[in-house]
Amino acid sequence: MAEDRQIMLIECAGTLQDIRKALKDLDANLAGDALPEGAVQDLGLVLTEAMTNIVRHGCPDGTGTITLRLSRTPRAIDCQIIDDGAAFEPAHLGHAPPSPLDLPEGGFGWFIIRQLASQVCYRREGGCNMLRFSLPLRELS
Amino acid sequence: MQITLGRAEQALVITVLEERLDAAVALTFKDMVREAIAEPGTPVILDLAQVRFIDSSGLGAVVGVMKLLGPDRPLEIASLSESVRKLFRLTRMDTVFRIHDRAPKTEAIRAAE
Repeated sequence: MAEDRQIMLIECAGTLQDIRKALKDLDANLAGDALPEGAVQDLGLVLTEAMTNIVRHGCPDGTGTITLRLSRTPRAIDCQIIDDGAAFEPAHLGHAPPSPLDLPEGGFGWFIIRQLASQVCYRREGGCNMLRFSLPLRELS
Repeated sequence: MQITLGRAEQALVITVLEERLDAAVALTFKDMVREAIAEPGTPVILDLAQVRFIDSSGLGAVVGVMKLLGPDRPLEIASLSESVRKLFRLTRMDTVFRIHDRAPKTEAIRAAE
């Protein structure tokens, strides 16, 4: 088994502006890792959705801290997001999309995460939320 | 966040000059567009050529604009980048909007900031 290699470590405050700042140059920051363009785009979307949910549900007063760690394996990017906000169990979320006919203005976040990421796993440990998932590096549609 | 307004025949074209339409700017975007659509013109075409990234909050704001316009003034979308197009497909919102490959040529109305 090949070893995982850490390719990014970000710690940011739990606000929407800080997430935006942390993720807006993701493609430039990962440029040295020769990842398929589609994979970086999917990664950016999944991380944005996951971290936005953390801010909205876990750190509504903007005082939380979010740590994001990305590792590269031969066939995937493994993502670990740790935050010290309120406990948030996502097991029941995102298994079906909102209907477009209802003209939904939200509720897509976890559906997008489950569509694009695999091995999604959540646990609460030591007063923190730990969310892990994997972005497969197959040829993306 | 900046948008510009243009006219193409009957249509009002709103061009979004922002690379990233995410949760941090979604409300500002919606407020600016709400003001912009006081300008007459139908359909309203949202030109997203400069937008490289939209998240579900940005998408929600676009849907919100559609609802503000009501049934008699359709909202259409133009110039989706590959990743933005994928988000529309994934959420099936590509079935809700008429999507153009590119926005029509416009005469400038004004810029909003």
